[in-house]
Amino acid sequence: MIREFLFYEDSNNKEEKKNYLDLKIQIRELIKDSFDRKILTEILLDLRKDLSGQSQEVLLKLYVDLGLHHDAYDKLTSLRWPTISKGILELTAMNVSESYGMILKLINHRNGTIRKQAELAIVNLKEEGISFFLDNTKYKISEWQQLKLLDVLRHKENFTPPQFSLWLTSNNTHVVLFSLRLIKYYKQSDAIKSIVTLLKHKNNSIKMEAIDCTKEFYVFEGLATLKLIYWKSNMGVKIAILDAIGEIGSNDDLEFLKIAAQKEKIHNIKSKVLGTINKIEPEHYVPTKNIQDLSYYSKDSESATEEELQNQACLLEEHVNTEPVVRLQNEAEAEFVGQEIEDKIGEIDISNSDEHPLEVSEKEEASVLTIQQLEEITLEHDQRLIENPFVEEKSLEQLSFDFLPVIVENDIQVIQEEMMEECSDFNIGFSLDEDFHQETGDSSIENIEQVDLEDIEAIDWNILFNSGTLEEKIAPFFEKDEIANEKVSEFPENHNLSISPIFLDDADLETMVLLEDIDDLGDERELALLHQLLKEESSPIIVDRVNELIEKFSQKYSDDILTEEKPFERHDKSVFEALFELSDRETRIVLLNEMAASGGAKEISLVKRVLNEKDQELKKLAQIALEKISERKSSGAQQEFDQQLSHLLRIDFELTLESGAETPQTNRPSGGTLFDHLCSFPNNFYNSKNG
Amino acid sequence: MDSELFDVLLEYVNFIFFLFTMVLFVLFTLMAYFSTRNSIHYRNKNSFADVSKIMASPLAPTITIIAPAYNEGLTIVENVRSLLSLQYVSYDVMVVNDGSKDDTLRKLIDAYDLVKTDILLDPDWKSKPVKAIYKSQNSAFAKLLVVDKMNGGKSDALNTGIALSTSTYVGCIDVDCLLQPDALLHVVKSFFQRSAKRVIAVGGVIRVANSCIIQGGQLEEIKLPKNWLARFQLLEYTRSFILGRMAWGRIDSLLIISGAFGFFEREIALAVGGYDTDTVGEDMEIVFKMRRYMHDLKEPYTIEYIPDPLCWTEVPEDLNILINQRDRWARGNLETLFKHKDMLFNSKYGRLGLLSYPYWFFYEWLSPLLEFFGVITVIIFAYLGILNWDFFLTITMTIYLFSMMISFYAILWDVYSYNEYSRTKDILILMGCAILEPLLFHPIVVYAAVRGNYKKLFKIKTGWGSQVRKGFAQAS
Repeated sequence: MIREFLFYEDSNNKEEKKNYLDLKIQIRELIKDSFDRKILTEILLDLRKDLSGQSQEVLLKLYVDLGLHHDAYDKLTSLRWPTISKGILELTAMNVSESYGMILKLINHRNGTIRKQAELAIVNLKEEGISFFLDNTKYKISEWQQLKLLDVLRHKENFTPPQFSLWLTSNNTHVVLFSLRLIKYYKQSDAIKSIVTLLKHKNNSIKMEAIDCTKEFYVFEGLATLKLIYWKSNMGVKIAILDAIGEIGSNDDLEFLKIAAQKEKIHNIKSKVLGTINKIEPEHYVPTKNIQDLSYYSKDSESATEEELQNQACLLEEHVNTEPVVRLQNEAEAEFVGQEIEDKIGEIDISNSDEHPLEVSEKEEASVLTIQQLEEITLEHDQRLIENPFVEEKSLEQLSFDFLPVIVENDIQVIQEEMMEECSDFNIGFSLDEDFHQETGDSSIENIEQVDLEDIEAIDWNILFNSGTLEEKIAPFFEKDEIANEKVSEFPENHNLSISPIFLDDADLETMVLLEDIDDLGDERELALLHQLLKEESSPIIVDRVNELIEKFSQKYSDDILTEEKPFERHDKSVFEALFELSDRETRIVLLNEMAASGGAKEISLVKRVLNEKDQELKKLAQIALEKISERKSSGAQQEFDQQLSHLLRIDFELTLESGAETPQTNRPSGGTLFDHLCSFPNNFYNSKNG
Repeated sequence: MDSELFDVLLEYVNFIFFLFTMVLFVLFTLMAYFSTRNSIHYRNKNSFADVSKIMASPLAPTITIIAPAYNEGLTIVENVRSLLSLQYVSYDVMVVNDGSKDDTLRKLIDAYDLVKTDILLDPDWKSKPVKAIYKSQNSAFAKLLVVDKMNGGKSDALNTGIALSTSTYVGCIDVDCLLQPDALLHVVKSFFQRSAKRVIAVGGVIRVANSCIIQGGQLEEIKLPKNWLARFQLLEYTRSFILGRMAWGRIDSLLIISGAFGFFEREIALAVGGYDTDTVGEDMEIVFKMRRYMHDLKEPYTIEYIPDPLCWTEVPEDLNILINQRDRWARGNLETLFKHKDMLFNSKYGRLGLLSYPYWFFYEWLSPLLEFFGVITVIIFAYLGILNWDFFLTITMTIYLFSMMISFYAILWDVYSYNEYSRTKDILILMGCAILEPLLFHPIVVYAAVRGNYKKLFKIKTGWGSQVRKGFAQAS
């Protein structure tokens, strides 16, 4: 019976309509009995869960049409809390928005279940429900209730959230907490001051949410407060603060973090502090636990003084420490290896042997080279080694570890930062696709370095120093790891390959970016621009790239010419022509009217041909069309040009300030930015000219 | 003179037994009343709750399920698969291999494509050394973390898991337990539903899975155990969980959360130092500690109890294993009660000190001992011909009928609430068990409890014992 109602359509035939009316009468008779009404309500409530779309709408309408909601209203006046709750649930499920006013009164009911049902109902039934609830609720809002309210809001169609910052000043701390969560969920970054103030709230939950918001919205103004509240916070809050500082902090916050690292005694917090420092300044602290004492490798360097040896050992240790994970199979093995090395080292003592991550002292900093120098030495050394292994074999015995990367501070740090910036520029220059860059771009060079570093611990260095050819010596290093093997196989056989970054200045970088854009989006129409660039640019990289693109587009252009049949001739032919010839008289009349209304120069020849036809009506229409086209052609030439120009220069986007959180850089769709519009200018121009 | 003194003594003994029995009757009647009220309230309240809402909520908290495994090679892969298929967004499963001597770890590595990873454990945290930590290379098992450590017992394994977890809540379960897919949703709801009190722990009912049909780590069909020992235990569990714990939960005086299914707020669990490794009753002990800690903090708190059947486990079908298990429970009881003896009748701890602790002391720990000595006394008195047979028979029959009545009520309420065993035959069998239990099964439990206490009091060294499980996979 209910199915008949739900799936009844107005377009059905008379008999069905009659059946429908009979059913309606029948059902109205039935629901006079309260038990039947109860059963029907339950059935409709069950169906409500299973139906969606139009059927659901019909169901909701049927519920009200049959007056079943009056029973639910009666339930609201019951003395039993389960009955009242059931009534609210029923009205909410059946979306009876008229009940909103009645349920409003219950949001501060002393019975928790009724109160919670009422809260959910008013938020569900009307858009302004959430504002009313937050304004008027006196009770605490449990976590579960917040979760359910958010769930209701999330699934509300066409819901425009109010500015939740309005409730950050509420006296009800639970309202404040919930508002903060809603602010975070709806990314409303208009309450920075309030959020910063709430960082100092007594309630830890509110504090935590405010910290989360600070992190989410990159509230740099909150950093000072975060550092201020840190010392008197509990472990959870401290970790949240460190998380936030790690996300939005800068080198200015390092001093605070270093103090925290010194003062914190709890392992979890201390680890987090070190992690945060490393997040702000990568590899400021390096692993030291279970690191082998490798000064042994400097032992045979007879010419070196003791001081030099110590320096080398320190540097070597630093280098080994840059390995992200250094671990022996078990403690016994570690002890054995350690003992073996100790025996062999004998006289050399390494001072930094404690378990805590170490920092490079100023003294050590002074004794090390800049990163650039180190890289040059490294590359030079590698190159020599690859080119002539047998000559280098002897010098390996006196292997200096000065080339190994070190972590330094102050002046050297500045150089490092500059280089890092340049490196990032370099990366952008060669790959505009960030995802692709993340997946593949970084890995190639880093993995090679990582392979070397990861295997340092496991290397039996005696092999290197004692006997055999270099290839034999190097082979075991790579056999250790499958990734290493893959990387080795990627190198050409002659090994005359050295990897070095190429740094570009800003102007060159921009040109490279433009070229990459042209490569991705452009076609043969960019050839003119490319030839111009070829003349203007002097940088060999750019020139190479331009040549590459010219070659690519020229090839493409010639292919197009070959495959396309008289491409431009098509534009001189009227679009009506083919259709006109195939059409009957009626259609031809319509087409002539069309041509009169919108035709251009291309249609003139066709219209003139029609003038020679016998059919008088067609001739007459052709005459009219010809006149109109001629008129339009003469008077509209200038106007057309203006229109084209205005179309070309039309700006159909707005420059608005958008919050960073709302428009994450990585997800921005292409074509929406000013830069994209500028880049597409030549295409627009070309399209407007050629249709 | 001696005869008069003996008579007076006898009178006192009679009075103590009578008083003990009367208090027992009153307590059980009250428990039936409170559990009934709690069950009705729970059902009414939860008819409006849709736990599935939490599934994809951004406010859903993180949970780590810690499952210690010792020589579980037979069932470990299947059990972990079941744990990985729970309905919840934000949880992970941490299997702690507690130095198993069998191929538990190897099976896990092979089945879940595990590789070593590096997670630092607090060096100050007291637990046996961790040998390695594994994570799966397969993203389908990204929730799984396997910790391989030196053997230190269940408590030690759980402590390692608690220390390694970073979630807000930790669930300590037996790896051989089968959780219902929506178990975590119920747990989170219980943690989150209070606004006036902080929920520090959540416990639940343990149901008997023997003879049930389980496929692919999911409970397909619930069946009454075929083994009689398992049937008696089923009745005992029903009575204990449906009546006992539900009632204690109603008055917020629950002192035990079953080790097979217990969830804790990690911050509090860490603050009390985790599980006590010196006791075999660690599940009870940690609840005592957490409650005392919160009392000392003077912060409003509670422990929630979920009566829904969310956790299913195999109970021993072998008599010796059963006796060992009960022996261990008795020792654990004694150890915990002794450790927290200052709570007895201590008003500082409110209902816990004045009601809950004394109940555990007199009716959970002392009761089997009294029963044992009562039986010996009866035999001696009968031998000496001084037994008051009328009084003896009256009180014995009263107790017997009362225990039967309580068992019937538990069965009735279970059928009414959850209707797990819907076949009339099953219910009749359970009622038959209720009639026979005081005569056949209860003496075994009393014997095991006495043995456990004897071992503990006379410091006879013993461990956890072992349970040879059929395994759900095999059972299916």
